[in-house]
Amino acid sequence: MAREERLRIGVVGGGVMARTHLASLLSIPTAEVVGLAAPEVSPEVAGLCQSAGIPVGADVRGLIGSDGLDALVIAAPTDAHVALVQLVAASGRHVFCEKPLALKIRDARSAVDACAAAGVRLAVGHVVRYFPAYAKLRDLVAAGEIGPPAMAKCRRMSGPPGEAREWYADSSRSGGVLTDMGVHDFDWLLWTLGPVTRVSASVVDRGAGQVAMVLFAHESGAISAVELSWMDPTGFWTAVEVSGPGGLLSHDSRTSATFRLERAPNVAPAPPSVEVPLGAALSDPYRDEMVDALAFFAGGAVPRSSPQDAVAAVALAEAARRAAEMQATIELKDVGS
Amino acid sequence: MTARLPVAMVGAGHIHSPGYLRWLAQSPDVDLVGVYDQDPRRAAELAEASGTKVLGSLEEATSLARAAVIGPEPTRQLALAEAVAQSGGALLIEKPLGVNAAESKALVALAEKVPISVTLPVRYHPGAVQLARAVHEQQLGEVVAIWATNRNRFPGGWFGDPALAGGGCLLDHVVHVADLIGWIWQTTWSSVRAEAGTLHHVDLAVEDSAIVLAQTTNDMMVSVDPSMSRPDDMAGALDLTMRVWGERGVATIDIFAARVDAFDTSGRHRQHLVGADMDGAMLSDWVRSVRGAGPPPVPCADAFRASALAFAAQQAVATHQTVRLS
Repeated sequence: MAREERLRIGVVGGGVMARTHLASLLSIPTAEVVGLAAPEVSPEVAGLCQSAGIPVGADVRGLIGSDGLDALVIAAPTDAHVALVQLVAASGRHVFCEKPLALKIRDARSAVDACAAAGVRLAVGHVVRYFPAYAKLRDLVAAGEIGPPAMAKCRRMSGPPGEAREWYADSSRSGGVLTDMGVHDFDWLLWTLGPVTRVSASVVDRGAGQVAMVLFAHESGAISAVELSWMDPTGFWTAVEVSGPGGLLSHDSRTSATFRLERAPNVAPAPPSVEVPLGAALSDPYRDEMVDALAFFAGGAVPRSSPQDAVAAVALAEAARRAAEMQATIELKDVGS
Repeated sequence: MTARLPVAMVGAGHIHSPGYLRWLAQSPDVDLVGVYDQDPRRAAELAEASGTKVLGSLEEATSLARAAVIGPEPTRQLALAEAVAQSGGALLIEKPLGVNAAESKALVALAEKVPISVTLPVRYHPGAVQLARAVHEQQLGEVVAIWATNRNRFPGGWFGDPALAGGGCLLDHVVHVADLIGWIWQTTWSSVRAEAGTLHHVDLAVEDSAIVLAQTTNDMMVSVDPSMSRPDDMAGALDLTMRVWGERGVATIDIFAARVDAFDTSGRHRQHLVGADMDGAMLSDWVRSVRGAGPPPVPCADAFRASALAFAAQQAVATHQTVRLS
């Protein structure tokens, strides 16, 4: 691969998703990481940068404004996403932003508008579309395997991420479990069952520990429900099912695990960390989404999740938070206007 | 950019042949020159399905290709491999390594002359790689026992014909688990006991049911169930599982676990496997090794070690005695 064909990338962020995206970028021959900046950089990220010879700094604006960059990867806390995307757009670079794009639909739209106005391309990390079972399930539904989809149920659980990174536990920064975890399934449900008209939701918010339940009515007449938790003592798992007049499709990460390790009780447990699930793919979903994003930046096709899809997922998350707050069923068209 | 590797499929009777052909046909690193099989109709069907052509003779295959995938019925494998090796190209041959210990040795000897890799793809599966990593990082402590299955439904066709299959489920399905154990622990077998019978498909002329209980040279006990004991219409009939007991923990692999389950309105259950393409990863590694003139990624010596467990188990079944090795 000729050097001039490589995209020169800067990474903004120093936590677990910065580490994930950095690892992907380092394994992609068309990418060259030229720098990483964050107010706070974890030892894992610092170590990865050091071994790869990537300069690390605290000056995020300096990195975004520096010469010789083609694109930036934003893996900062959620409440910083919109301002960073706007800053990158203003500098004329393409931008990959970790999900969710924003906490509010208005902000998500202005991030997308800023990129459009600047003529730069925006990709958002809706990685569930790249998890093989979720992609397969959606393909089977689209192929008519169960007839018109009638109901879907999505479940997404983990331990409290706020025990490792405290900004997660502040719902005004992370959106809480409804936004941070829910936006994955909301995006997948829009992809699989189509647009939503009505939203109901409830949440228990104890900071680091949260549980939420969401109910959607779709334009097609289908209904879907989402169960979300940051209080699962067994750690990360997800499950999904879609049923229709022709049958049932289901997937559960717990019965789909191709490797498990159970340690004896007298062995010291690993320190808490924010869990990044790896499916059974040889090529991992986080790398696959980055490959698609970089191809998009280089002039290729829009990735599986478009900027408009990212806005739509934020709209559902905002609607769900509002419905939970009001303990009511709300019309999606009333949100974000 | 190096030129594409011209590859022929020579002998296409194996259950994996269609999948391998599809992969070879779409690989940007491979120029699939065609399929030769002693059954021209079978060759024609496979060639059409993967958009390649039928080769009329062995000579045509070896003159066009620099490397060959050899996948006939097991009893035809050694002769075919020896014939193709005359031309000096690299070979990828099907497991098991021969249908008896003498054939296995002959193939190891042949590998002294031409580079031969063997189709043992499970070591390319991420679950197997994660197990290998956990073991090498000492996360389990000393491993004392492995309980393994590699079961299936009866696949039909030549699998029931001893003249073509060369044996039953012991020959066919012990080697995958055996290779993982040999590969991860670099160990072999010190003693082997086994029981077997034709118990699920009672008209078959080969054993369809068996359990092997072996001891490794590094002192692990290993049980392997290679039986064709799953019902014909069972979803997920094919499995490959290992439960690995260490002093500090237990690791489990379930190679065909990643899936979407589908149920129709009559309750019929099917599984759509997702995720890892271990066959593709293995083929890709083999093509890379041949183009770079590197060593075979799954050498005959490894397949010899794995196949030795199957041969010893057959002997234990025949003699009702413990077979002691090395």
